[in-house]
Amino acid sequence: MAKHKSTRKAGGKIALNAVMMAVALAYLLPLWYVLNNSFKVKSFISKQPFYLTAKSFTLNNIAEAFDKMEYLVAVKNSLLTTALTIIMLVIFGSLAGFGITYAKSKPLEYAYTAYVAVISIPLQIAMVPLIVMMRRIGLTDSYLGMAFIYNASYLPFIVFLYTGFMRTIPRELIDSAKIDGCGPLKIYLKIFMPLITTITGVVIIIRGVSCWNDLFVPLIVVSKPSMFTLPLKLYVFATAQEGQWHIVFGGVFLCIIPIIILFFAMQKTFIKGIMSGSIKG
Amino acid sequence: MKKLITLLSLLCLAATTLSACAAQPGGAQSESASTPTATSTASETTAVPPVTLTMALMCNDFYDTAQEMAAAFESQNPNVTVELSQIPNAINEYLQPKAAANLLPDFMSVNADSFALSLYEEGLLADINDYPDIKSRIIPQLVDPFIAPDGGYFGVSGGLSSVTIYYNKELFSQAGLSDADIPQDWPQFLAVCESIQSANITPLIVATADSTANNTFWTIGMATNFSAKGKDYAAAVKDGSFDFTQPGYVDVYAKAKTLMDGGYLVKGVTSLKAPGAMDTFLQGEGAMLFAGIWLAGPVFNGAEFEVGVMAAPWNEPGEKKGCFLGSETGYAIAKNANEEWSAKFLDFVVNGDGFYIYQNGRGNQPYILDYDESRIKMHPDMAAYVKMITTDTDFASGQPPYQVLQSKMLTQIPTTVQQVLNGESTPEQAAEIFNDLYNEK
Amino acid sequence: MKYKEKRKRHLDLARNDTLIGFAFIAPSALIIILFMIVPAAMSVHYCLTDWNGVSSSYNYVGLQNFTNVITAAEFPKLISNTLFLMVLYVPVLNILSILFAVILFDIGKLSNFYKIVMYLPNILSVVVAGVIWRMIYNPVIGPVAQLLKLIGLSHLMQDWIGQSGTVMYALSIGILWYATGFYTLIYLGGLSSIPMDIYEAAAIDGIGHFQKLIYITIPMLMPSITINMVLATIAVITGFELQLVLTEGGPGYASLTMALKAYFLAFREQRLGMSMALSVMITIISVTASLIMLKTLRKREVES
Repeated sequence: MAKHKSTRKAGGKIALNAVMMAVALAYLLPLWYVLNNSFKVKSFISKQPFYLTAKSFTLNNIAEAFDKMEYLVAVKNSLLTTALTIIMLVIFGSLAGFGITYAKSKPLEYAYTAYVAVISIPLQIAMVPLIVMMRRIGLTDSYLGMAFIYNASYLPFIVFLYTGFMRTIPRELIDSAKIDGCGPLKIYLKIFMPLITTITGVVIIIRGVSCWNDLFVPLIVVSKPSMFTLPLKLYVFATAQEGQWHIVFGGVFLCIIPIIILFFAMQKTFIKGIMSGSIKG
Repeated sequence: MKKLITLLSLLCLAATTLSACAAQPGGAQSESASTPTATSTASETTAVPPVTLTMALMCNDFYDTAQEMAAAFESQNPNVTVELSQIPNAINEYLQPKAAANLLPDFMSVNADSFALSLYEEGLLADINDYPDIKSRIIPQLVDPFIAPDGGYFGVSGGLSSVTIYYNKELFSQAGLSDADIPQDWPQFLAVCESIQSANITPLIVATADSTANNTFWTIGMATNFSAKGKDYAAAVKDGSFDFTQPGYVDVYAKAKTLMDGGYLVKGVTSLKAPGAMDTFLQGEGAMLFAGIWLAGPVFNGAEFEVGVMAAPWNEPGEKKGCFLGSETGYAIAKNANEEWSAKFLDFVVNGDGFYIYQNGRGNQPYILDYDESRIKMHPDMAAYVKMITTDTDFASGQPPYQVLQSKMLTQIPTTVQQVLNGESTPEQAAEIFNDLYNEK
Repeated sequence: MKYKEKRKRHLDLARNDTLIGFAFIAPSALIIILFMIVPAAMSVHYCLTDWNGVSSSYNYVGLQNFTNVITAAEFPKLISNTLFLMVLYVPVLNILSILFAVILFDIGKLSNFYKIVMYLPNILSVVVAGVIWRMIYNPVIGPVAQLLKLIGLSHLMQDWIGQSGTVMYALSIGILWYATGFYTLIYLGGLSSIPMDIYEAAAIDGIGHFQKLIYITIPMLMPSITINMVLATIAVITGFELQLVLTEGGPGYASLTMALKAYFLAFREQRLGMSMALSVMITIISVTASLIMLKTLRKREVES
C-alpha cells in the first residue's frame, strides 16, 4: 500500500514536471525569439524566426543599435539614477521605519497609516505639475530630480515594508539599549542596521529593478538626449525604427543584457529576496 | 478608517496651500528667452563661444542623413557641438512635456499643426521672419501652412508632401495587370483590387495604427469629396460651421470600409504603423502601398522589384481626382539662448550644403525654389508623379485638410478609421463621434 | 505627588520619543509631500481648468472636464476595459500564481530552474515586453504568422492586437507572461511560512490534495493573497506603459484604459484639464479599491 502510494506520487511528480517544462518553454520562447533574432541578418528574420544558422548570423544589428542608441550614455544614466534612488530609498525608508517603531506612539501610528494610504495614489496624478515644478526648482534633467520622484512614489511602500519588519524585532532590544544610555540614532545605527540587511536586500532588488526599467518618469521629466535612460532610449528607438526589426532586436538585446547578467549572477538573492519580502506583508 | 480619512484630508489641505503659490503653469516660460542672446552676439567679434545645439528630429527614415548633416555643420562651425536625438513619429507627444517645462530642444521637428502653432503663440518658438534669407527661398505653398494668425512664421517645411499608391510591378503582372490597367476612378480601383486578390496576393498595404491614417484614407477622401468639388472645407471648420455628419464626410469612412469588407487590405491593417507598412511592402507581402511621397527614397531604393506610383483614384467616374499638396514635417527653432545658432543651422539646411545632404538622403520633394539640379538625385517616376498632381487639370490639389484641426480631433482620425475598419462603428457612427468631438466645449 | 511626578516624567519621555520619531520620518515624509502630495493637489486644481499644457493662461471651467470625460464616446469602453482587467485578469493572475506556487513548492530538484525562468520576464522593462509581443503578434511577418504559413494554416492567423474582439485577451497574455513569476514567488514565500505540522495533522485525517488546498493552503496564504490582490489591482488601474507600447489603446478604443487615456489626453490631445480630471478619478478608484480589498481580505484573514 505504502509502496503503491509512493510510486503514484513519483508518477505525479513526473507529470507535474512535464507540465512545468511546457510552461517554462512558453516563458522562454519569446526571449529566445529576441535573442536569436538579434544576431540574425534581416532577410532571415521572418523566414527562420526560431533558429540561427551560420549563414544568417551577424553582429551588425547589435553594433548598429549600440551606435544609434548611444548605448553607453544610456546605461550610465540608468545606472546613476538607479543607484541614487536606491541609496535614498534605503536610508530614508529605514529611518522612517525605525522612527515609527521606536516611538510607538499614537501620532506616529497615524503617520504610518498615512504612508500606507499613499501607497495606492498613482504617480500619474502628480506628473504634469511635477514637470512644471521640477523646472522651477531646477531639477529637470538631473539624476537627483528623477531620484526624488522615484522616492516619492516608492517610499510609502518601502516604509510599510521596513516598519512591518522592524516591528518583529523584540522591543526589549530598544528598551535595554535605552537603559544603557544609547540615543535613538545610536540604536538605529548599532542595533537595527545590522538586523535589517535582509529586508534591505529585498528593497534594493524590487525597487532597483523597477527603477532601472521605468519608462514613465524619464519620458516626462527628461528633455536632454544626453540624459535619456535605457528604457526611454529603447522606447524612442523602437517606435521610430518599427519595421527595421533587426535593429530593434539588437536594441532589445542590448537593453536586457545587463539586467539578465545581474539576475543570473545573483539569482538566489533575487528569488529569496522576493519570497522573503512577502512574508512580512 | 475615520482617522485615515481625517488624516488624508488634512494632508490634502496642507498640500493645496503649499501648491497655490506654484500653481501657475508656464509662468516661468518667458524669463529665459530674452537675456542670453545679447551675450553671444557681443562675444562673437572677439572669440566664438562653444555652443551645444540640442536637436530633436523625427528621422526614422533618414537617421544617417541627419547625422551627416549634423557632422557637416559641426565641421563648418568648429565651436558648435550638435547633440542629435531621434524622436518617434508622435512628435507632439514628445514635445508636449518639454514645452510645459520650457525645455524645448534648440532645433526640432514640427508639423504644420495646431500644436506647433500653440508653441509659437506661447513664445516658445522663434519667428523665422527674423531671418529673411530663409523664407525667401522656400516654395511659397510650403510657407503658408506655417504662418500664424499674427503673421509669424514658425516652421520651415521639410519637403513637399502628398500621398501616392506605390505598386509592385512584379506582383501586378502576376495578377495579369499591366501599366495600362492603372485605375482612374473608384470602381476601376476596386476592380484592380479584386483581380489582385483573386491571384492570391494582398492588394493594399496601409498603416492605420498611427497618424498615417490622416494622410491616406482621410485626406484623400476629404480632397476628393470636398476640395475637388470646390467646397472650402478648411474655412468652414475654422469658423465652427462644418457638419461632420454630412454624406461627403461619411463617405470618407465608407470607402475605407468598402476596401476592408472586400478583403483588400493587408492583414493587421489596424495595428500596422507606417514603417511596418513600408517594410511589409518591401518584403513583397502586398501589391500596393498607400503612403506618403516622403517614403519615395527608401521605397525605390529598398525594393528588390520594380516600383510604380499612381494617384489614389477615390473619385467617381468622370469626376476630378482629389489630392493635396502639403508640407512634410518641418523644422522649428526654439526661442532661447541658442536661437542664433539654431537659425544658422536652419540656414544651412535651406541655403547651404545641408539641403543637398538631406535631399539626397531622403529622395523626397525639395522645399526650396531654386537649387543645383545636378547635385540632387530624385527618382524620375516620383518627379513625374509630383508634376502630374501639381499641374494636371484632372487633379484638384489643395492644402491638406487636417491642418486646421485641433490636436484632440487630429488624434481621433486614426481611432475612428480603425473603428470603422473593425466594424465597431458604422461610417455614420464614426462621423457622429467626430462631429461630437468637434462641437464639444 | 510622587506618582504624579513619575507620570509626568513618563509622559515627557513619551512626547520626547514622539518628537524623535517624527524627526526620523521627516526626510521621507518631506519627499513624499513635496514630490507627490503637492503636485497631486496641483492636479486637483488643474482639473477645474481648461489648461492646454503649454499656454501660460487658462480659465476655470468648473466641473466641465469631468462632464467631458464622462460623456466622451470612449468612456464606456474605458470603464469596461479597466473592469475587464480588474475582474478577469486580477483573479486569473492570482489563481495561476497560487497554482504555480503550490506545484513548485514540492516539485523537487528543478524547482529553482522553474522559478528563475518564470521570474525572468519580470526583470525586463515593460517597454521590452511590449516590443517583443508586438513583434510576436505581427500577423504578416511575425513568428507565429510565419510558422502557420509553414504548416499551411496561415488562414488561422489573425491580427490579435488589431481586432477589437481579441486585443484585450492578447494584452492579458502579455501581462500574464510578464507578471506571473513575481506573484508566484510571493506566494512561494507565503507557502514556506506555513508550519508543516498542519499538513501532517491533515495527512493523518486523510485529507485529499484538493481539500488540502482549499481548507489549509489558501486560508494560510491569506496575507500573501491580500498583498497580491491589492498590488495587482493598483497595477491594473494605474499602469499603462505596456498598452502604450503594444497597442496604443487601439484598434479604436478597444484596448484603451483609463490610465492610458489620461496619458493621451495630457500628451497627445493637449487637454490637460481633462487628463487631470481623469487622473483624479483614477486615484479615487485606486485608493477606494485597495481600501475595500484590504478590509475584506483582512477580515477573512482574521476569521480563518
